[in-house]
Amino acid sequence: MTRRPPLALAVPAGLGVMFLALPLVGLVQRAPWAAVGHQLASHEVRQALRLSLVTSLAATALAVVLGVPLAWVLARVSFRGRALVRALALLPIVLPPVVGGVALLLAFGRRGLLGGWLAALGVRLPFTTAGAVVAETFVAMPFVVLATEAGLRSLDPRYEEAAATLGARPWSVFRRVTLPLLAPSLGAGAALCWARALGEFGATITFAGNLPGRTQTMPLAVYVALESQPDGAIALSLLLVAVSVVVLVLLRRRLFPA
Amino acid sequence: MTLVADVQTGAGGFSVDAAFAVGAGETVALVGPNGAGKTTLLRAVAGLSTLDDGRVVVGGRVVEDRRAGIRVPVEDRAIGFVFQDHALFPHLSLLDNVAFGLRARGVGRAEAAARARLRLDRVGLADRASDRPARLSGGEAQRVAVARAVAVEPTLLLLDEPFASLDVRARAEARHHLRDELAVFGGTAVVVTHDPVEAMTLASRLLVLEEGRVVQDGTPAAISERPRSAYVAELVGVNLFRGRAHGDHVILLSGAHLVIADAGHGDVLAVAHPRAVALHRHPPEGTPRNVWAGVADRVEHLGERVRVRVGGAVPLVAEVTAASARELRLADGGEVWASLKATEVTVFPV
Repeated sequence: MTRRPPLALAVPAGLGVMFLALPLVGLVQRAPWAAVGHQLASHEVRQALRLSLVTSLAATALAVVLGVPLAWVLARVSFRGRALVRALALLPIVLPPVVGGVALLLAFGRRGLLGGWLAALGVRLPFTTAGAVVAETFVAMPFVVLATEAGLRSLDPRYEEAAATLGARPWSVFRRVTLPLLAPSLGAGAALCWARALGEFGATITFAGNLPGRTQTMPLAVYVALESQPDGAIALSLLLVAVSVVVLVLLRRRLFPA
Repeated sequence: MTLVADVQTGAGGFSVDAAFAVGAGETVALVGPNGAGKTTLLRAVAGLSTLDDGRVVVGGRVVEDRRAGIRVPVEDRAIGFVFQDHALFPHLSLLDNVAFGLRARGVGRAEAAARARLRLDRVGLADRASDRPARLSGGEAQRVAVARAVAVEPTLLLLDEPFASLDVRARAEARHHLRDELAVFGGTAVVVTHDPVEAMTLASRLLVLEEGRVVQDGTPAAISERPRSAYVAELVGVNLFRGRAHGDHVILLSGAHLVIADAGHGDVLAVAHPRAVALHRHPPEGTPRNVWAGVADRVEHLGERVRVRVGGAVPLVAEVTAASARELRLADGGEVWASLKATEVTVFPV
């Protein structure tokens, strides 16, 4: 249905669009276009870029490995406390990332709940690249759980039932029927998760710190560069915007059906 | 007995409480009105839902017994299941669909593919082996679904309304194919349907389910002899004639001739509703070309209508108004002539 919007809705809607668009316009307008290539080629930037790619991809992989089984359990097994587990799985979306970072320190830090165990195993997470991966996974995993569970719920259960009547064991049903049919939902969830992990700032800086080459990912680099070399910050920001736009374009059919 | 089932299961206000058995090699049609619990019963036997009470024995093996605490999971029951809308795996080729069960049971890739190809060949779809299910017509999908289910040679095959998603044209052909498939399969099968023609062309025995209970169990002839409910009477009360079509007429098994409007050839099942049969006390004149002499031997009142069985060379059931039954003094029995217009006969190839 197409209709002419009343003025009382059209005006705030237009203001809303401007509010969202202006910062991007500012970014594009202030960008030192001639020097963008040079800025992005600098050692610090390339280091941050490489680290961001490595940590965000690792975080996405970890989120898929943990999040898909969790989504399966939430969608297919009814147990006491399921609502609580689902709330827990989605909590990082609404939790301030800095709080997430503090909580991670209290769980996996040197004096944290598992700190002693981890130390005994020779694993150190805070202020390491692995810690940056953990922080990004914590914040971004809900997107995998959310998309996968929704996909599982909309999957016709008869495919899995048919597989079982043909003699397939539950793990084989999952691997050969559920997972392939789930691929589009899982792909969308993983892409959103990756985009979120790539932009992670608060939990990472709190839990993993801001060590160039080890934990200083792109968003952290942008923040630091804003003080000393604003042109570099803008160039990095443009890169992150471009990545976000690409993810949105790739997922537009899944996120906004019809 | 290949299947002995005593199933009590329910959800909400609806419950199924049914006991029945199916002999080796037998094909039974599970019939009943919509909402009678046919699918629920079938799913419970397959293990796709749990029983509240009762037991299921397949090929002599107890696969579920609530009181003994036995529940064999679906994948270990050796029960094939053909779903109403076929449920072919959309991400796999036809060949991989049919080979799926063999692969799941540990058959090697090459051998599973070879055996699946034979199955596809038998249903005439070998040249489509690499197609995805989305490209199939309803009838083709149904053939693949049956081929997939029988590929693992189950002890028992369950089919849930196999023709429900097909249009009328495709049904006759699909029925024909399924009859052949079941004959080749040679195993025990239960077919859910609510179409009497399907039930009688596919099965040698009917199991009538109403409101979750088995109300009748027997051969179509035995059930139509004494229908125990209005639904059963309607279901089996139609006049069914088996015979061989020769153009404009069918030679019935008894040798009698039945004139039909549709040209046809080969083995057929001819169906005429009792309302289409007219009764006379004297040989009728005029258009009807199917006229048989007989004896009115049972008269049943169904409200304003009266159902009359006519014994003779061509046994028939006729339904006439109460007024005409009085006029013809049918309650007295005696000799009558039954007539049936050729245009009132529907012919199904079998």
